[in-house]
Amino acid sequence: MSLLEVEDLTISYKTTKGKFLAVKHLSFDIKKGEIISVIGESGSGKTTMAKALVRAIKPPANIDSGKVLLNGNNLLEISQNKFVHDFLWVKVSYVPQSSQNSLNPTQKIIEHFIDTGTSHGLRDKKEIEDRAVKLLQLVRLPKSILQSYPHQLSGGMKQRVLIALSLLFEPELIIMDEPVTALDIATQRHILNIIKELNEKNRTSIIFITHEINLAIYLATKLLVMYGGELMEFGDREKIEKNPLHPYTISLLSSVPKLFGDLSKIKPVTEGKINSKGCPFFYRCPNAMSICENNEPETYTIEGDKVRCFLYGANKA
Amino acid sequence: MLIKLKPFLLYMLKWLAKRVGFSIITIIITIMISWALIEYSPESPANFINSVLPPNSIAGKPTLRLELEQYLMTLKPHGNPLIDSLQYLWQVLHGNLGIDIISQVPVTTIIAQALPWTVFIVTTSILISYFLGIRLGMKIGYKRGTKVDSSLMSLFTVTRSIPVYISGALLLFFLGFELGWFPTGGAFSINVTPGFNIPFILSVIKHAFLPILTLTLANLAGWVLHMRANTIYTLGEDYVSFAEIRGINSNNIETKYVGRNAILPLYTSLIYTIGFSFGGSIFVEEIFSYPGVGHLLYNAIQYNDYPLEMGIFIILIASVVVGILLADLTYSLLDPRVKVGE
Amino acid sequence: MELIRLEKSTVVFENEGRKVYGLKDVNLRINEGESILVLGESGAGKTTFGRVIVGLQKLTKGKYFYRGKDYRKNMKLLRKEVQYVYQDPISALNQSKTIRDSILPSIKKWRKVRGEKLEEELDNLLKSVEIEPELKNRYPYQLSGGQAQRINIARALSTNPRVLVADEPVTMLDASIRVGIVDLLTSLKNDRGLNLIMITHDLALARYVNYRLGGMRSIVIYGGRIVEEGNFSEILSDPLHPYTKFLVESSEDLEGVGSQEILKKMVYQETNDLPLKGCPFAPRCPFVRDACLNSFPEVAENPHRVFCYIYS
Ligand SMILES: Nc1ncnc2c1ncn2[C@@H]1O[C@H](COP(=O)(O)OP(=O)(O)OP(=O)(O)O)[C@@H](O)[C@H]1O
Ligand SMILES: Nc1ncnc2c1ncn2[C@@H]1O[C@H](COP(=O)(O)OP(=O)(O)OP(=O)(O)O)[C@@H](O)[C@H]1O
Ligand code: SF4
Ligand SMILES: [Mg+2]
Ligand SMILES: [Mg+2]
Repeated sequence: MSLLEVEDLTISYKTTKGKFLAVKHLSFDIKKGEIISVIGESGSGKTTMAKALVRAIKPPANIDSGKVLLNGNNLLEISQNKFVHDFLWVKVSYVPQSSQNSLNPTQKIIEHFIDTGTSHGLRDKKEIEDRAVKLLQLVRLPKSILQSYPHQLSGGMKQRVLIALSLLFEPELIIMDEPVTALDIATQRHILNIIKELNEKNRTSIIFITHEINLAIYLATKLLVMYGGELMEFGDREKIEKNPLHPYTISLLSSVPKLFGDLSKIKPVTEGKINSKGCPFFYRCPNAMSICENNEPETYTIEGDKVRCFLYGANKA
Repeated sequence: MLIKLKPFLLYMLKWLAKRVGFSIITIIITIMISWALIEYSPESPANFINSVLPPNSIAGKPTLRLELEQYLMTLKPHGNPLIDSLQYLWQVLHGNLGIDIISQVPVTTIIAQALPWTVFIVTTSILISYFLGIRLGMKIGYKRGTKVDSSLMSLFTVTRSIPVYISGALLLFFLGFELGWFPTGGAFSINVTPGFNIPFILSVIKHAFLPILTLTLANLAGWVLHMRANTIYTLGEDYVSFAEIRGINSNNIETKYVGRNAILPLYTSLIYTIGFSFGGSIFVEEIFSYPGVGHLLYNAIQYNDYPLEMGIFIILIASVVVGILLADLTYSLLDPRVKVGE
Repeated sequence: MELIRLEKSTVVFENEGRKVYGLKDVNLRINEGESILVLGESGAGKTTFGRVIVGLQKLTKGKYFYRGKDYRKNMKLLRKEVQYVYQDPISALNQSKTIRDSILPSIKKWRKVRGEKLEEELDNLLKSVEIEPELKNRYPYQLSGGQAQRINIARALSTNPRVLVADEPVTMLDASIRVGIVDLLTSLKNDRGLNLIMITHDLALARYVNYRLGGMRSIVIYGGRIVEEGNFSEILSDPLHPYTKFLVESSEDLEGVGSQEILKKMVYQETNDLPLKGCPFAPRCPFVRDACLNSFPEVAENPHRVFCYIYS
């Protein structure tokens, strides 16, 4: 059974130019112990989608439709009280994107743990502190930093504090929004290994959001490729890595050079804007057909993978 | 630890010595410049006395007139601004601010009588307006973009531009003269005995009410608008939205996440304002005939009573400089990002 | 022919009361037509190096000769011949001007073109960076990141430079279009015989640049010092300096391959203050010895240049 199921999620922003759909009819699921890497370029709706999973969508954004089912409970429907008390941080937690400024500059690190703990029913401060010390050990930070202020920590250290904070109640699912972007390679690797270890030890499910395909592949058991707010391809990482189906995934995988392998096949994805009528990738797609311009492809299931592209329409299962 | 503490203390002491020294030099230089400016005023002591004192007041007392003239000469014995101001400074350092020309009483005595009243109305009004302004500014900031926000915004923008002598005069006229709710002058009624007794305290409050109200209104709008802007800015910070995502309760977010960070920039202004407001109370004290240093200064300027003028200047300068020093010294206690000495 | 020569070039910054080397005792010669790769992680001094080369950053100590002449007496030539492409493409452009108004004055000044020819020259310049000339009436905020970076490159080319310093020119762009910009830079280099100084922290991207241009020399910077210098493919396949090994192995591991010779020996740690004396990598180095703490090692050729006591 799936731990989390997202069904037909659509989120819009109200702008001066009218309604803008940032996430369109998105459906996917994650099972216990899985790591899904959500990959997509800037503006593809990753953060908006992630926030919806922890009910953090606020005006001007609005959830137009969809369900977010955690163990069968629709998180978008239950009362705020029940959500904060029974689900948030206890079952599902979040590591925010722009982490360099996500900690309160006038609070010590320990106070962040205490605030979070007490908000979800952990009364005993000593107990919170004990947990914090253990979690810091897990992310390899000295416990002395509990008495530090955020500005006294490096970017990588802050990032690890945020990961430790997300683990306070050992949730079943953690959503991490670009947790290693803008960090040094060595720090990235270090943090990714901590995440891996966590996943292996506690079977914590992780939704890992990134725009770096290499990092997505490094961590994931499954890949969710987004473009223009829509799902392009969703499936097993190994399979997609070897045999990507969607033209966007194919172009993406061959656009990023690696340290090994043939460089002669490396080719940039054509630059271009998002098509708001039919398939969003239409303007940049090497395989585009006339039908793609004004018609939205359905989600086709090919060998267990989900693909939204007319190329696979004929093979529809 | 000890090894590390010592150089830190030494560093702190050095910094403190530097800042205090700098403050003292600022005060000294301002005193000397103001002194030199006053001294260069073109009037001779004799003309000056004639112009200041009604002729008949000393007509029958030629000795007094001579005494005064001599006294004024001693104020600028060398005719050289540098030497004279140094000499004046020397006197000031010994606690001697000279003799008031009009009342013939030491300037220190006069100021000592007036200062507590000014300190009373200025600090009270600033503290009231500060705390009120912060609460209000934050509430409005939270309501950003609503009708309440925009109407209160325009209200405070207007009230901010009303000068105290107009608002003061209006309050005096309506609440003092027309309705007669409050006395129109003095610091307490002549029917009470000064001391720690209830009638006296009530009388003091009644007399100070309008001056304090005027000053409070004058300052309030500034705090509200400043705090509103800071609140809105802080509400957009990542650490606030992350606190919301974490499910921290909203009271907690309001005080620890938004409030504390939004107030920080206002704290320094608070201390500065206390320093500067002594100057601002001149008009208010004059309008309400309130016997503080502002009132005193107003009269001193009218009569060219320069020993008294200088005495009050020194108080004003010192309060501003000390205010700034205090703000710098204490700011690091509030904002962990700032270490003393940066 | 020698074009650029750095001699013991040093830049010292004051950072929150601490002394920091932006660049320390850097010696380097770049010949005409030669392109190099500058590698290193955040805070290593790559940007400082680039800014020195274009004359935007004064040296605290040491010398910088451009075409044999001290940079301070050579600013006019530097301004024309050495151009910089910034990391953030949008903010590098003047927000209040159209593309046309941003680039035309420079064409007028440096290419000595007048009248009708001017627009034609601009259009050609835009075409050479694969931008449709119609875009010239747009403002920076109306451009995508990739378009903005192409415009930046066009602006840099408007002076007809000899040297192009590209400071992480694709880091802020979407991964899918990065190599497109690299393709542009490398073909410009080939067509115009430019010296390309490519600054990047991304070894895979560096590998691609090297693949496009072939046999590039590269320098690895750490703590403001050049710690290793040599042919790029040699550095990638056989890194000598412990820091280079660490960098290469970390990147390799993220692709799930490679040995972990040094990674296994190192405890992960972060250091903000690097030592001012000795080897800057000493606090993190598993091979550290006494000498490393006292003075910076002399160069060793083994087979390429490296600055580490293991080899000297
Ligand atoms: N407050 C807002 N008002 C209007 N539009 C917004 C707002 N926030 C985001 N958007 C738009 O919604 C779309 C999706 O944004 P989102 O932040 O979810 O993307 P992302 O995939 O997380 O991108 P990035 O990689 O840059 O973080 C973008 O086109 C963005 O411009
Ligand atoms: N203007 C400055 N004032 C103070 N310190 C500076 C300044 N510019 C750079 N530094 C310091 O000099 C060192 C080198 O900085 P530089 O920007 O050259 O590094 P970089 O390799 O370009 O890093 P990044 O990958 O983060 O861009 C860093 O420690 C940095 O903090
Ligand atoms: S639907 Fe059409 S345009 Fe979209 S990816 Fe498939 S082939 Fe390309
Ligand atoms: Mg995002
Ligand atoms: Mg840089």
